[in-house]
Amino acid sequence: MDASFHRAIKAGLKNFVRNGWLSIATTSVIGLTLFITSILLGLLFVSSYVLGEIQDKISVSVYFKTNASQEKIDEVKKDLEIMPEVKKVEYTSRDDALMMLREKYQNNEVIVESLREIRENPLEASLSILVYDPSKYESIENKLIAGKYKDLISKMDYSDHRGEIERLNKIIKSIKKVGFLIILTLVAVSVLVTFNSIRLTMYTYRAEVEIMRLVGASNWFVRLPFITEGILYGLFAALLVSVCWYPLASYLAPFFVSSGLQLDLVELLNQNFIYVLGIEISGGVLMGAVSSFIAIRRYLRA
Amino acid sequence: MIEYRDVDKVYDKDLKALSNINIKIKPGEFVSIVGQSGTGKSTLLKLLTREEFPTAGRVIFYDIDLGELSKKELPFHRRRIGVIFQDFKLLPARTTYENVAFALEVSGKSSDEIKKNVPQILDIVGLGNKFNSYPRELSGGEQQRVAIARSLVHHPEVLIADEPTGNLDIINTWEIIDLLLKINKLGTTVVLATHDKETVDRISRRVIAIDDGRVIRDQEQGKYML
Repeated sequence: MDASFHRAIKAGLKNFVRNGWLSIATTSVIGLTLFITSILLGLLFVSSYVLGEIQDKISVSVYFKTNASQEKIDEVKKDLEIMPEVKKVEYTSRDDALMMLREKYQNNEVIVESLREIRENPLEASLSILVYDPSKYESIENKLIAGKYKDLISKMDYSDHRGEIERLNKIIKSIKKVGFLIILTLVAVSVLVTFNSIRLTMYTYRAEVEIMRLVGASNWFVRLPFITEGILYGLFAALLVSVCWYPLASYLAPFFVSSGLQLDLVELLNQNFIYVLGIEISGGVLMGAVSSFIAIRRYLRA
Repeated sequence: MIEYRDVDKVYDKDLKALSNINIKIKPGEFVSIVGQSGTGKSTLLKLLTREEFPTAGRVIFYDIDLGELSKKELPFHRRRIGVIFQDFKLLPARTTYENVAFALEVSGKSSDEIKKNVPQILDIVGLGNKFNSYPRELSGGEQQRVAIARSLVHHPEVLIADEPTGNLDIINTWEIIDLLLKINKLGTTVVLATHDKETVDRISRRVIAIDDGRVIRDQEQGKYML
């Protein structure tokens, strides 16, 4: 069995080299499949990343009346922090708010002048709340305004963003849903194309399979070279696609930077290249091997 | 001993390929099966390689009922039989040497055995100088000789030749037939199916004539007569 196994693998390697054009064509089809799938997965990843970034930038601020004591505000903060849907609560004191305002408008004479005129700090302390799921803002708002703290709170600026938050929420959900549907469809289509192109390859081998069986080759001896060939298609396709990632990432990286996203594609690829390569190779090899196995089956009957 | 016992073969409802075949072939015999195209010669041979099952009756190959062979045993059965065809059926992507070696690789022979046996058998069929040629680089006669070498290399008990000279000119035909006779002389049973009258008459061995799926004549040292 050992010698046969070795020989079958070798035969597969030889077939791969000898059928140069057929090998290139089949490898390309698998490569394209992998590429399309990876691009789509990448898009899904980037879009969830971008949406996450945007989500992080949306927060709701609760403003406290100027007479609210520090203890009370701390209590509210603590209460918020133990809520499971709350990701982060940031406190801005009245002084901090004033400082930030001054800094922001340091070149604006009118504002600087009016602040000096008022003397007293007109700003309110605030808590900026970040949640995991934007749809939860409303329930937080209800809790705060209807609950025991309602006398402390002067306003929440959730209402101002309500439209945007809800819209964003919808967009995120539909992108995830539609994205997955598109990916599934395309992957199914590509797998079918791959399977068919390997089936065509096997079709050209049907005479060979007949001969192999006539000289007394066991089914596994017939199968192994073809499965080896399928694995090689997948392997080369995966390597090819993986190599393409770097130029693509370097090409796209500037667009991400210019749109203000903190996402260095090349660095990201560097860090995850082993995983990317692993996934591509397993995907390609699996696709090649399984397609070959199924395609050769019909010639092994009887 | 090969034996067909009351064998019928029906492909479709109306297409009866063989009916009531009773033949015994002794070890070491040279048997020509003659008849026009489509009379069931190939079917008869395919029953031996178990490419086909009989619809009724039994085919016995050296005490084994071929109908009872399991899927696992089938490859081993086929290694006991060498087969050559009109269209040679060589592996186009392999050289002469590799085509012949393939039959041994399949049966799990060691590399040493292969290196020893393949050149020997290629010498016997007269292709000692064509080891590295691909089938497309060989003439029809040479290709058939590669096929014969391949069918013989694992020393089968029986050599089945299905119209082996159908694609060859007269000279090549004689050479192939002479080779088959020589192989038979060395002890291998040869079953030759042909519709070539001259060839059969020249061989002058046992002839079984088939017409419309039935044995119509079975003669020692026969001639081609239908």
